[in-house]
Amino acid sequence: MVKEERNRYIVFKIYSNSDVSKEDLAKDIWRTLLAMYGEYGASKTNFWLIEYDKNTKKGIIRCTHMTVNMMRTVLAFTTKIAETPVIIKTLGISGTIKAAKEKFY
Amino acid sequence: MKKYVDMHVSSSIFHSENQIDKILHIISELGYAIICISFNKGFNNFFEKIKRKSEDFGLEVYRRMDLLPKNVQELKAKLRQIRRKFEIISVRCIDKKICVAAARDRRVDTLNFPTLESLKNFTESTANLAAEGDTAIEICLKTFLNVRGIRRARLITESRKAAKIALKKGIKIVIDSGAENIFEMRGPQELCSLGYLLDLPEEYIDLTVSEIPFNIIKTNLSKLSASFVLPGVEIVDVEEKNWSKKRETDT
Repeated sequence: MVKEERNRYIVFKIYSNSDVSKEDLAKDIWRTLLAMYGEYGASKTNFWLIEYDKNTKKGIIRCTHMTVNMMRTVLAFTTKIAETPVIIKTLGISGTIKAAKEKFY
Repeated sequence: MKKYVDMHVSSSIFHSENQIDKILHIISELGYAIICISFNKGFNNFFEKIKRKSEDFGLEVYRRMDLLPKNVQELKAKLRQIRRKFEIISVRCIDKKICVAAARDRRVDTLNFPTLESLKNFTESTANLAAEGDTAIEICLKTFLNVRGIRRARLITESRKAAKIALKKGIKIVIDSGAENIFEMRGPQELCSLGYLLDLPEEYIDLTVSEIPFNIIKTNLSKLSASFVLPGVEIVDVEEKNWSKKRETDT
């Protein structure tokens, strides 16, 4: 039987002039997500920041397959992390963390 | 391979000459093949430098002018002056009359709506004129990034209405960043996500950052070339033309 809700893993890269911590990143993505889609919309995304590497500035977030475009919008609308201006660029999307790491990380 | 285009990047993102390489590197890493830089006074030499360096990063760079005329006469006069100097000409439609005149004018490539209030100038009648004049409408991500809360919600609503009218009338839609600093730029896929927010059809969204702006630039480049006479009429061989002229004078 096919699962109704499947996870997707979005690999991203951050462009910024200074370092960004994982906690600040998660906090600001949550803030944008709640501002744009509200608590109900945010609950539908099943969003979680799986990991973020400070050195390569690459990370992986989880969301459902139905909310990939919502999360992309959220990443596009995240302008600052802890008052540091940033660009968040999606590198790729995958169905498993393993494949996400192998292909895009 | 698909070429992604950011049709609106301000020259101010290259704030100093030392930064040109770094900024061009970020732009190419974001996934763009073509960018159009909006022009400021005294930018000519600087632009040539950017153009030369952009080749190292596999980027094509074109000139763009954003017009903000006070009245219709000024718009027409400026279009006469600058049309042949820039690859892209966009008009900021803050005033209804200017919006109508710009939509009708074939020399205008895109209509830009920089504020929530200006979007109300894009009505069905303006859209009809834009369809006749083959003028596209431009949606800038920057406009959305600079507002918050109720204002952003209303901006999305009005932009969605404008996009719906444009699709209905067959007007081309271009999504670009409108970036004034490098951190206002986003990758092509992130620009596409704005299309989802505006309920554009899925198969159309990708075209708004690739094929549609690319075709506008391509058409304008051919119009700006020396061999262009009329749409569909071109001088194929200049030597042959000179020879036929000479023959006419001889006879």
